[in-house]
Amino acid sequence: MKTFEERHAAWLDGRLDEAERAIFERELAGQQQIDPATERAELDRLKLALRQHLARTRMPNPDFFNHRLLDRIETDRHATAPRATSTGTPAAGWFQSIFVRLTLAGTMALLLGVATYRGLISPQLEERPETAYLTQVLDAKSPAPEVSASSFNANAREEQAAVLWLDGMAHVPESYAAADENLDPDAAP
Amino acid sequence: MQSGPPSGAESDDLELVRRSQGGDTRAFDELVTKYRTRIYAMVYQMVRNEQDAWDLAQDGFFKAWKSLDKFRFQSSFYTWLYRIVTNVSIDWLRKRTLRPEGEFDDTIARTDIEPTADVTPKGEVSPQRQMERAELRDRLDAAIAKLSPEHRAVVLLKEVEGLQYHEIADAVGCSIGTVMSRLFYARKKLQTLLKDLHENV
Repeated sequence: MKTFEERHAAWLDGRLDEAERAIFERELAGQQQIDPATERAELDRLKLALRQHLARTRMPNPDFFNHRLLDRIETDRHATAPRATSTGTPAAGWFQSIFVRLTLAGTMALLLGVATYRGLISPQLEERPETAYLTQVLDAKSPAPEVSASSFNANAREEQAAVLWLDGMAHVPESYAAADENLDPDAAP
Repeated sequence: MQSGPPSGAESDDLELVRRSQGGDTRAFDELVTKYRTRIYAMVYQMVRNEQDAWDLAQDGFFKAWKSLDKFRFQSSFYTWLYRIVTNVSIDWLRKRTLRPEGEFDDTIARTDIEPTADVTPKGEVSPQRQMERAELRDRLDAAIAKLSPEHRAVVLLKEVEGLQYHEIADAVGCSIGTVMSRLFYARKKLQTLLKDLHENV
């Protein structure tokens, strides 16, 4: 179903068939309270007036219009041409330029990082003695009051030992005895 | 009254467009020469200012040149060009209405319009008749200026340029139904604004 506005345009253009035109004109006269003949006459006059008075507009300086437009086109061409010839299209050139720059910057940063590690950080790690922290005895207590316990760490890397010194102890139970090689036979109990 | 270009002219246009797409500015120059007056007239009726119309017509043709690679030969060059120019004009009018605007200046470029063309030869019109026509033209200008940019474009493309509905729809980027609807309301508004003229003519 066409809208009233569409049927109005078709009616004015004479595109409605006889039956459609009769229905539309009845609708126009009834619902819209518009006399079809008056409506058509007014709109025909409006169309004629618009065409007669507005259609003929003289363009000022028509040749200069072309000249200026072509000049503008040439200027635009020259502005875009260098970029297009150097690296393909301007968009591709821009992308390639950014890509190459990013790649170079990334490679340089990577090389600098490796050099810094090799030159400064790695030697320090190699020379640093192994810490005795993991074998450190933090606390040494003896449940027997006559026995005092103390400890010290062997800091030399090759010793890798923590020494527990028990003073006043008659003997060490066998189940607590350490391996023989770690005991000093000359040490006083 | 001109309507759409005939098929022969259309095929000439398409050949010129093909050459223009290949970078031939002389071919594009021919297209500009062919359509500049109608395009300018259309824009002038939209914006009612000589300098603005000239500049907007320039912008429209320049935009058309830049967009030539997007022309797919699915419509006539003429309709495609109208679409670009109409959009340029409507955009300009929309931006302009965002700024404070004075009353319509009915003294603008009165000399650029040939009111008696196609009516009677110059010199045979009495001063009284000339005055009446000038008054009618001013009233028409003022009435059209009160339409929205979209309604103005549709009524000018239909009544002045004589385009078909599908060409107008293509040019303004809407459906044929919307074109007819806009045309109805634009005509009604003009009819109301010029009611007393109708009664006196």
